[in-house]
Amino acid sequence: MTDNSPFDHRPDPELGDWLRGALSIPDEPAFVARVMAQVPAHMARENWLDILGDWARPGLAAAAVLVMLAGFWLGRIVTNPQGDDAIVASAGEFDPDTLLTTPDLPQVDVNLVMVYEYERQP
Amino acid sequence: MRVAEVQHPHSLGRTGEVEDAELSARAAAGDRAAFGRLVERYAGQARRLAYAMLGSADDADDAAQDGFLAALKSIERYDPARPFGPWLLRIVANAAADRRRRLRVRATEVIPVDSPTGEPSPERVTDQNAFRAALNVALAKLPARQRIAVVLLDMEGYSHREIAEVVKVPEGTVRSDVFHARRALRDALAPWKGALEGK
Repeated sequence: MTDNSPFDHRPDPELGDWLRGALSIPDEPAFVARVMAQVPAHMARENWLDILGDWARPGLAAAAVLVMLAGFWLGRIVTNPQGDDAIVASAGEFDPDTLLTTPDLPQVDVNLVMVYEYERQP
Repeated sequence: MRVAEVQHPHSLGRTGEVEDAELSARAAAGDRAAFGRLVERYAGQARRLAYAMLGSADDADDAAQDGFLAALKSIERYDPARPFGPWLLRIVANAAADRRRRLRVRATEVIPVDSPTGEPSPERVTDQNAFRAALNVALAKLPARQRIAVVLLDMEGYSHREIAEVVKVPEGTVRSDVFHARRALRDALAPWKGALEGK
């Protein structure tokens, strides 16, 4: 061993050899294989951003399809809530005099049907 | 004072460190083979350090494996501007310390040692196994930090500064730890020394 001093920065080769002899564990390749067996075959980074990124494209496509379907359905309801015949049938129950005498405001579709009927009359 | 120039495997120049940085970057990007190269390169050091801390080859291998896998999980946090060895060995030392705590819970022995725990007789000086046993016993008696310091300096060739990074204490404390560890080992091995030199 070298002289022992806290100011000696050099390794002690003799002690190093002794320690290596006492602490070396045989069969290093087997150890490496054992560690690598625990490492997944695909080590690609999988953080939450990557996972969300993977979901983004199909998620956006599905959302777009849903929005289109919902828009189509809502559009049909808004432009033609009950169908022309139903509106006409319901409007037939109203008398123009009732409209003038009632204190309630007439509904818009009733007024529209009345105009529509008026225009259909020969 | 006998001065001996010993070239330690990890201090063969800066090339290894550059390669370590490159390998760790590739491993962080998902290159399994690059991580395998790092495991091959540091397996010996990691196992010896864990063995010094745990006194059992089986436990040392378990701890070293835990350390490598933990290092892989956090490899993105490794700063390639700094040497890879101390960063990895710190993780391995933590894994070994965790395992030692668990072992202490399981059994009340201080540190299990593969070899016989009694002081080997100087009459068996020709028996290298007995000498190893004596060294193991002497090592096991050292405080953990002193053991890490002397092993990393004298066996692995790390500098005091690098060891300070591993054990997270000031460099001066590492010097003191090495001093005390060497003195304790020298005292413990004194009965063997003359006989070994005479062989």
